[in-house]
Amino acid sequence: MPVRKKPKRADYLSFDALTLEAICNRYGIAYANVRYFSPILVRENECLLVDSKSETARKAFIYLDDESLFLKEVPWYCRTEELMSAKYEFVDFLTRREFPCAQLVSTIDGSPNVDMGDFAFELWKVVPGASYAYRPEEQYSAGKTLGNLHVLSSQFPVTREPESVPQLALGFIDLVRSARGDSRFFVHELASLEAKTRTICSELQLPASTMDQVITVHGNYTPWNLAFKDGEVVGVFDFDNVAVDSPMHDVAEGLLGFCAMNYEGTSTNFAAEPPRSFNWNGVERFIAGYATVRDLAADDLRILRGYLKLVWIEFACLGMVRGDYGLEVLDQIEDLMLDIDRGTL
Amino acid sequence: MNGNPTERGQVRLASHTVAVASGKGGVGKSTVALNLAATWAAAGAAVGLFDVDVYGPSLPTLVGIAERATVHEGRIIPFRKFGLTLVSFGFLTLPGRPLMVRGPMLEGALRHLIDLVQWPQLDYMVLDLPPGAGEVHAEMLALVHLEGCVIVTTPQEVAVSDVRRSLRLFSRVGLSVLGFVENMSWIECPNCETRFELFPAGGASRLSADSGVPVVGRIPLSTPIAESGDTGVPAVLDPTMPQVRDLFRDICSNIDDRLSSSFGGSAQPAT
Repeated sequence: MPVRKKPKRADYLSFDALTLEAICNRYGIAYANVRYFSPILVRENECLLVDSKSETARKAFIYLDDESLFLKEVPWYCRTEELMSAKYEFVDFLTRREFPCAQLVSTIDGSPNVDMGDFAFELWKVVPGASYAYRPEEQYSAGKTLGNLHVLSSQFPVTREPESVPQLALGFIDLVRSARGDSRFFVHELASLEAKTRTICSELQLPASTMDQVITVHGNYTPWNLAFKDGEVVGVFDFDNVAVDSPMHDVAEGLLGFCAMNYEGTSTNFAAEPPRSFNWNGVERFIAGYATVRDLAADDLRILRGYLKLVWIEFACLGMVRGDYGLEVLDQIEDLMLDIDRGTL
Repeated sequence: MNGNPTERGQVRLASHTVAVASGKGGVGKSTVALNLAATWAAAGAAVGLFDVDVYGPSLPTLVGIAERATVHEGRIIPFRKFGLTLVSFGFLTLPGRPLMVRGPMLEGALRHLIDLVQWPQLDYMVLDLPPGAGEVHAEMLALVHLEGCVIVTTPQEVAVSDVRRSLRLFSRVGLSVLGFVENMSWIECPNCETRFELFPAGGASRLSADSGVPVVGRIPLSTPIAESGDTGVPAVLDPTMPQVRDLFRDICSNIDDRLSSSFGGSAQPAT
């Protein structure tokens, strides 16, 4: 995923009737049979407006009599043949192995998306279940499901260059510099964060060639991309950030997302108050679940602490770029870093 | 769909469904809608208040509810407070987030929400429309069986001229305008009880003379009424403001009279 500023979009819930009808035709859905094109998703225990999700791309729920579908514009950052193919091949690979990922719907001519020139749209079956409710059994199940994903992924051929967490963290620091005009007042803090990031990267001692240690990772394994039922994961979705990296990429994102980050309700936005410590019991549960299906090798554990710090830097920068956090968060990043050093992995 | 659809396929949300509209924002429309609903409920009616202001839902603040709506067996359970059944897009989203929908997605959002809510049997439904006369109005007029609407305005000409646009819209779609409510009509001196008219007087009266639609009530610009919007309690339920309660009783009574005369049926609470 290229780390650059996303285009400003205010119309991410707007579709005109002609576009919707054209899309429906490509999927063999009779426009007149659609009960609603709606921004509302009803889940087991909650009712969400899709505005609580990312504002990157246009999206809508399509309600038919017998099923619910999620129409989504392919986000700008993965709208290349290479990235889209990687995503579709990976999802297809997982689906065939009965991994509980969202199912992509093909058009009547077998295409994975509808290309409309400036835009491309995908249609996914809505995954039933409920949002993450911070329950201990959900943390365990999320870890176990990720372990399963990585076991399967290790059989999936890696054909792309790795895109590692260290690269992403440095890219996000640059993004804060370019996207936040007021970052000029925080020049020293950003320079200090970059120096710290480079130190963490060098301490990771990643081998020059890591192709034999990388797999295809989900790349956005956060609570809001999973659906739960009775404490168990029943669905994993949003594979837009599929990347090639160490499996610890997903593990670090999962641990941050499930056991540290404060979110604004069930939205993907971070709450204004940045995290200062982990829920280490939750970390233990997540890793215990993961380890039931995939052993954490010594090399994995060696880099996990560093990856946690780098993903936290990435999240903090993302929060600053999105406006979830003020630039003052630069003074607070260290708190969670210290907690990562103190915690037991 | 909830309720019994009419011949035109519109949904009936209550025995009497009344929209509250305004020509422009900031005239106190939502405050009036809440106090009308609370007045009918205080008289013993089963009343719903449906805030369909997709772009700027204010009901959560007005009634002091910060929680998100809950779902049971696939249906949204409306909030209950002050004896009212309360529904708003604001209960589905986070505060301050814009919902930029239009076209089929707007129609879908409105229709989907109406179908999702577990509506109880209601004597009155008060629909709090967005300001102006736009797409939400057109969609709601097509979706919901309305008996009429009340238009809230302030006295000055700039507000009144916008009301004329709303009047034309409602006239085109055949919706009865039951009356005008003139808000911020006057201010009363807290010491000598003298009334002062802050704006050039008679906006609602001019509208009434031009359109033949009566003025069903006038409300003063009052700090306690304004503050009630922030405290989360309708002014008519505040025992320290009996004069406000009486004003709204009169307005509700006038609207009931209009409903009875327009539709030939009793507009009194069925309960």
